[in-house]
Amino acid sequence: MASRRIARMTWAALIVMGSVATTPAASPDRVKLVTGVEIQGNIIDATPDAIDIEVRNETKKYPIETIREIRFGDEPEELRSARTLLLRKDGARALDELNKLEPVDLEGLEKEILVELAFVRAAATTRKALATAEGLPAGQKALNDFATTYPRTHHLYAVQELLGDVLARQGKFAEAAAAYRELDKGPPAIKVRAATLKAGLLSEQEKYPEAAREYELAAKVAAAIEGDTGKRAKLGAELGRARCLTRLGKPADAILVATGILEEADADDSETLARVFAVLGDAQRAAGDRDRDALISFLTVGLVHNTVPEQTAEALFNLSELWEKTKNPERARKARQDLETSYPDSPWTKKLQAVKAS
Amino acid sequence: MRTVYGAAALAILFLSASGAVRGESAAESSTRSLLGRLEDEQMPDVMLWVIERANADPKVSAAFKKELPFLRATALVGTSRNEPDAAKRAGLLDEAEKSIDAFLATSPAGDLAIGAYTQKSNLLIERGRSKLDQAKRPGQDAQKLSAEGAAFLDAAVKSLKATVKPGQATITTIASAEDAVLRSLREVDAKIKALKGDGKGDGKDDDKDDGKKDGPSKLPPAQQKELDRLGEEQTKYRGKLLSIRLMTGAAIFEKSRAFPAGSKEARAMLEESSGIFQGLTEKYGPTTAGTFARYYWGRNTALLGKHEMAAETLAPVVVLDEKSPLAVSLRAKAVNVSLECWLAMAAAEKDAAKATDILKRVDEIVRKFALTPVDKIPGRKLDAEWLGLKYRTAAVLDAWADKLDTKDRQAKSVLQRDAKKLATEVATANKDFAKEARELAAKLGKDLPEGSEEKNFAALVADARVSFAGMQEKQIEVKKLRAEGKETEAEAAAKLAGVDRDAAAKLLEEAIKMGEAEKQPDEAALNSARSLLTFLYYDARRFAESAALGTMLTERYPNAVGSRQSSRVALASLQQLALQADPAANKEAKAKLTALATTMSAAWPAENEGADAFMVLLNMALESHDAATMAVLLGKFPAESPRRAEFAMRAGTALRREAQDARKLEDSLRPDQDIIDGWNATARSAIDEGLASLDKAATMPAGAGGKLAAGAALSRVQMSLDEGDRETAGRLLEHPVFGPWTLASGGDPAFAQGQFAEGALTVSLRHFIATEQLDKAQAAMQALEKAAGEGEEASAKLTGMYLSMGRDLQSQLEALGGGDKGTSPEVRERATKILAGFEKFLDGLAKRDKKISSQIWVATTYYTLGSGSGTGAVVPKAKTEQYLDRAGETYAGLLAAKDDSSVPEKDRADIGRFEPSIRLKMAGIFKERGKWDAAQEQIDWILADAKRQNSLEIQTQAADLLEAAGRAALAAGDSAKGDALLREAAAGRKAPPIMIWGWGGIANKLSRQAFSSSDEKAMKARAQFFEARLHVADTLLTRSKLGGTAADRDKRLDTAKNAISMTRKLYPDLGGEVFQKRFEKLLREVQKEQGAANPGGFSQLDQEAGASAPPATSGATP
Repeated sequence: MASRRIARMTWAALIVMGSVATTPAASPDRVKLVTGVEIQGNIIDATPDAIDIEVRNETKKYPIETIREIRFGDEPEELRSARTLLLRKDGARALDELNKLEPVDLEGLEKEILVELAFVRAAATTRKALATAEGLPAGQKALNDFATTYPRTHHLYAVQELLGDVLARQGKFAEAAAAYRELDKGPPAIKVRAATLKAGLLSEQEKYPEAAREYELAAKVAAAIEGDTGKRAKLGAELGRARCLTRLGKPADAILVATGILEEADADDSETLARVFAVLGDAQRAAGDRDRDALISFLTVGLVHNTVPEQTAEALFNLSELWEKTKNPERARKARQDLETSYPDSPWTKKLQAVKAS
Repeated sequence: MRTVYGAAALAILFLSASGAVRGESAAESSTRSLLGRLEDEQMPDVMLWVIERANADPKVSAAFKKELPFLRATALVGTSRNEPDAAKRAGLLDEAEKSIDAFLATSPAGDLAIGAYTQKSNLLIERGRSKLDQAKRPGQDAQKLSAEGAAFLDAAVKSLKATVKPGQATITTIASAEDAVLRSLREVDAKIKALKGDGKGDGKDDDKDDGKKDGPSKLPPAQQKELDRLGEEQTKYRGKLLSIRLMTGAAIFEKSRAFPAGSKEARAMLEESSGIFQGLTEKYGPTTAGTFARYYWGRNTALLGKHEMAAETLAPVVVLDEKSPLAVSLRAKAVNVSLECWLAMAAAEKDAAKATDILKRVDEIVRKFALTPVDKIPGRKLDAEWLGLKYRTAAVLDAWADKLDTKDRQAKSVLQRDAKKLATEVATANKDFAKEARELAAKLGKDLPEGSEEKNFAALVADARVSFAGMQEKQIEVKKLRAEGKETEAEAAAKLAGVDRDAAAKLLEEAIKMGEAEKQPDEAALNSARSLLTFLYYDARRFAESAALGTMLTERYPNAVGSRQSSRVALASLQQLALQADPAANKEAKAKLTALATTMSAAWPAENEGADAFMVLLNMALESHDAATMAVLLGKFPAESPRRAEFAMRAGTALRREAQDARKLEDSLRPDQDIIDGWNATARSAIDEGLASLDKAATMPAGAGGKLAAGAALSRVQMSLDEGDRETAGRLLEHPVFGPWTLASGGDPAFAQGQFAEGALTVSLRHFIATEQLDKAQAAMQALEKAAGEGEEASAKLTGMYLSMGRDLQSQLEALGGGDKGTSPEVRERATKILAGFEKFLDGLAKRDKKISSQIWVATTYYTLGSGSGTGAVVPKAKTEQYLDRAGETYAGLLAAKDDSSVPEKDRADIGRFEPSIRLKMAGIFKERGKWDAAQEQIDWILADAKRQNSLEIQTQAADLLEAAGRAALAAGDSAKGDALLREAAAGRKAPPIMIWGWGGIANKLSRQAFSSSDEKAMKARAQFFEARLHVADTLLTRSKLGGTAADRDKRLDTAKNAISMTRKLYPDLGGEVFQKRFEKLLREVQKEQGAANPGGFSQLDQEAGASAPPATSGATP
């Protein structure tokens, strides 16, 4: 990272001297936080745990768990678009964007940007594989190669998480758990994330009692973390626990947990609300006699809080079944069409197609 | 017009119904947003669920709960749009209005009050318009509907117009949308004034924007920001005020339609509406709102017949140069009205030059506008407005060209070319003005042959609707002609209606095919077309197609407008198909009918369509004597359905009948007593539930509903009597509303005559005798005689009624002895008491009343008490023989009196009329007593008269007597006589003039009636048919055992088997489970006689026939 700092300083010096008065001013780096706040300045250091950014001659440190996205000032437009698509979990289109870059475009790029390119490519390859269930080993290899080459990258925890995901998808649960355990080395919020991911893995294996315990543990750790980061981590763990309670045949308890979260939630946090209503709908549906409530919850996701693809797809899947059950075939058809058109690669779409085929 | 104020109201509504409110919880905010989105998605039903849930949720804030009635009103209005039933739709709108009023009662202010009052007004205007449109339809009470429409529009104006007096300083009470806006506006004005501190914004002229912008602000930034916000608020409220005033003018305009065109009242309304629009036009000038107001002013003026003034008023709108869709649409309206005015003015102008000058007002600009191609028109659709504009422009240009001199050939040609182009366009669209445009185009030299125009889905549907309207008109004509007795003309009109119907169906078929092939099919429009086609197929008796299309709509689009009606049409079609003679087609139709009815009952359980479906399922269960299904259906039928009581009574009565029939079955076929008791209990509670709905009614429902309730009450009385519950029987019999005695002895001929009266009076008589209310018993007897009438058949009818009462009594005694209760001393004691009561009454009657009818009654009752085997458990044999002998003596005495000259002539004549009935009873008595020849003598006497040979009752008794005599002869060891009598019992006896049909003949005579429908009469005939077929096979089986040659024996067995096999082939369900068991039992006996060690019954029969798919052994009888 030091070389980048020097390069920046050189540019600054040149500008001061006026010798390159006609050269366009370099764009600042940008750090976008999970709260939505954006900081502009000069990134001077990046490690797996934090980012240092110089803003008006003052260096500020931001813990990695508070950061949503980093944009380098001189990065190519294609990289920026690919990263945005990656954040939306659209690996295929992210790769398409990267493939627009010609070798000549890469000439003279700073190392950090090249590393960033390598990360986005590896992550996009994996995301695409996860979405289509094709090329999973290639995705796994791409991530491993990246982690081996750049062991101190600020994407380390993201890489480990994605690695765990791709291993889990291949049924390699023990290896996936090991990948998630790497996150235990991080700061408390990342540790909570690790616990939540491990719990999710257990849940995927239908080991619901163990998963619930793991989520509970994660929630406790998260409760000790101050600020929004802790709150969000706790919420994720609680929602995971609620899902387990539903699967354990305790939908009433799950509903209590979800409504409790809803009471605490921020009315503007649509992403969180989508997750809460999806969990609530799932529990209401499992309760057996609350189909109407479940419909309302899933409609709240599908019509109001519909910015998170996983939850929107889940809502559409459930709506298609619930409308059919409640003698509303037109709405069921519409929900199915929306799901298949908007989320063709979603596991919920595949589940729907499997149900249809059976 | 609807669009304009509809949009205004929606815009206001949107402000209140969606968007987060500061400080709201996430749950509430999500609910609010969801309601907004559900409204967008047109899911008012879900909106109602959400509102209901929020109302019940203690965590929802009081502020939000306060808004819920308002939001509920929005949902109800939305729901009403999809409700096909006009009465229900009106009910929903009433509820919506009440909901808004409930919200307004909480004295809301600000945007919520504005929204609520505006929505209420919008709702009332819609309802008023709907009433006025309805008033225009043929056959409606126009005066009443117009008055109702006017009342709605008055209320709308009241809800819109300010109650605040001009110059009133403070607004304390909000009673209208305008009040609410004015108060909000004044509050904003006051705040602006306070901020500026310069006296501006004093609210004296609430809606006047002086157009002067404030100079550079000297306020601090925070205050300036607030001032800017307030400025936006001010603009918003001024806009709302304007919308409300436009709506007020529109509502008054609509009200003018409630009066005859040109009437004083209509003109007054138009003037008032014009006054409002003129005021707004003058105030707002060329702004959008001012332009709208101008158009409405001009339109009203034109309607007042002031064409010149209207054209002048509209002139600025006619030349409007804006390209926004709203402006273009408004301009089209203005041009259209102006054209109408110019045409009227030119027609009225006597001076040709001046008339031409008027027509010349269609200048290049207007002509170019009228020639706007479809793809440049907002919405890319030629609506009625554009079609009118184009046609009228063509008419003006044509009229203008006509007035030009031949030397202006070039100018004339240009005008005609444009006129032709426009007329062709309108004719091709084939909607509004199509006919006139075709004529004009033809005049202009372009003849448009029918069907040569470009076709698309909308045009084809529009054509189909025209044909459909033609069909409806002709059908009304058919009715009228039939009522006038002009059958030939009616027939001709009906044929023409059929031509229109077939044309409409053909066009719709083509349209649907075209619509389905579109890239993005308009499902709503397609479903509407499909729904109409379903009906047309039904009307054309194309039942299979109607059923298929209606079923598709029910299954795939149950919530589309028209699907519910289509499902009913499909149901009716399948019912028709289920009457087909072909067993396979019949079976298939029944399966489809069951499937559709099941779908409908699940889709709309509490609606009329669901109730219809449940009724169909009940009828099918009734046909197949499936009591278990009847009970299940009763459990499923929703309590909240308005037709629950009707269904409960119908199902309860049917179930009771099944229980009665089941009790009479032989042991091997009879269901367990617990099951029969269960059916009775279900029947009892169902009938009680149904009757409870009438408990507080003042009178019986009219028509079929009343008959159903009366029949149910009668069944329930019979049940009570059978159960020995005299208190309930008495209470129900004399219930002031539905009591069978009350009704039968009352003045309503619907109940005091006919089958119901006969049943009710015999039951009443039985009850009054049992409870020793002898005066009432006597009255019941007299009523029975009256009900029997005085005609030729009165005697048979009266004895029939007495017989029926006796049978009921017999049935009561049988019920007493049912199961293992017969030997119980308590039961015997009860039976003895019942019999003692009757004996006392009958003997007393025989002594004191020597009337022929009374004597017959006494004899007939003794006859029924003595006959039958079911009473054996409780009535000693000696007693039954005593009863039979008493009956026989009385009958014989009556017959002797006929030839006794000392008996008055009238009585002798009466006996003469009763003679066949008396002899039939005597035949029965002789049969019971084993006096076969004497019995046969009576039958022969009766059947010697050809007129009586067609009586099913006599023929059945004759066949029964032959069979009984045959079996008695066999028992006595006389095989030859037995064989001969059994053969005659089955095949009949022809000994002219006597003709006995025999069981086979009876079955043949009944087959047509038995399967013609599913009504009670047909069902009775069906049971008699199967009974007769059983006797045919049974007599053959018995005869096969009488010795003779092996060939004879085999032949009889084969014939018996074939009789069963053929019956089953033709009628696979064999009249229900009980008959099936009886047929199969008999078949097994035949198979055993044929040498089968282990007779396989029907399955063996199927194997022998090599049938790959054996016929159904359950389900409905075809």
